[in-house]
Amino acid sequence: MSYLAEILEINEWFILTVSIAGFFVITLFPRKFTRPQRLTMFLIGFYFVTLFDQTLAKPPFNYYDVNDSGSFTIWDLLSYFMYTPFTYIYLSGLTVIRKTRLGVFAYVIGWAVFSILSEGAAWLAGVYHYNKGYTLLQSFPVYLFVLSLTLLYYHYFVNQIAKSRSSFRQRSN
Amino acid sequence: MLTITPCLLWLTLSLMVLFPGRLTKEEWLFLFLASSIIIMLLFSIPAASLQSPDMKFGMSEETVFLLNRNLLFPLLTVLFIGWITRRNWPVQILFLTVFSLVTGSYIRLDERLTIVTHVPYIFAFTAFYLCTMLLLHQLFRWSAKNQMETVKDP
Repeated sequence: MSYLAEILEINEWFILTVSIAGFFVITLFPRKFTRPQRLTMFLIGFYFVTLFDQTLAKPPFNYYDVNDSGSFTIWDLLSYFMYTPFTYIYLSGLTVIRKTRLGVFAYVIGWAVFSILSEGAAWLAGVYHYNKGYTLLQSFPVYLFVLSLTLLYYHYFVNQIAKSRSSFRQRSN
Repeated sequence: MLTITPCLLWLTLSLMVLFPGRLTKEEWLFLFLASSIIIMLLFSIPAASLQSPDMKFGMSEETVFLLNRNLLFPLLTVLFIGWITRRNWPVQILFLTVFSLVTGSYIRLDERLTIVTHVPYIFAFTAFYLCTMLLLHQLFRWSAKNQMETVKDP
């Protein structure tokens, strides 16, 4: 343990802790989705973080650096895994809340605020280093965009398939 | 390249609309996400060399690179898998050869704006990548089928 404490820095501990905690939390959730849906949800989380990190953190934008150096390291890759359980938790929560328009709107805003706070914690831990005057608040529209797209995935891929299956079962009964 | 890439992207999208192939929308999304992630990670190390002064991209060159990486290559992958799914193996091999040649030739037009650095045996590398995606797709379909059977059993 002391050996690990010597070789790992705070940002690396942050990535490990959040990843392990995230994956542990989702094991406690009831399995409401099929295996391909779960896999797609993890890929959605991984895709968005890879897309934005590989675009906004690279030239010509260079708005931020991930971890200790501007170059791609194994810890950058592990930091992408850190986000994947949260897509699953976000979509699991959607199945629980009352699906009024206002309810879903408030849910997305709530998650965007939570995401900004989490990114703030990651920034404090040294996972992100902002450049060129980029600030934490500028990530807010990115989160709103990503959360809304994930919501579209839920609406068109999870919800509609579940509805069509239940109507098929009703017809066959 | 600023002309060819949007035209090729339009052609790929048109072919997807006209001949969508035999994929479900879950398979389509899975392939798009998985291929995008693999391509972005494959390009991440050479993309770091963009920071060196001799590799600096202008805005238009960067746009072409991003179009290639984020849209064209993943969509070509989905198109390829869609066309060869549920076909017999000689047709699959024919499509694999054609797609590898077309994609490899396009990359050879300007390696800097497509894959950033020179990769030897690009045709073989493209064919290997397409086979990997095909394998991932088969695993995804097997997983979905397995799940359906588990649901049906009780």
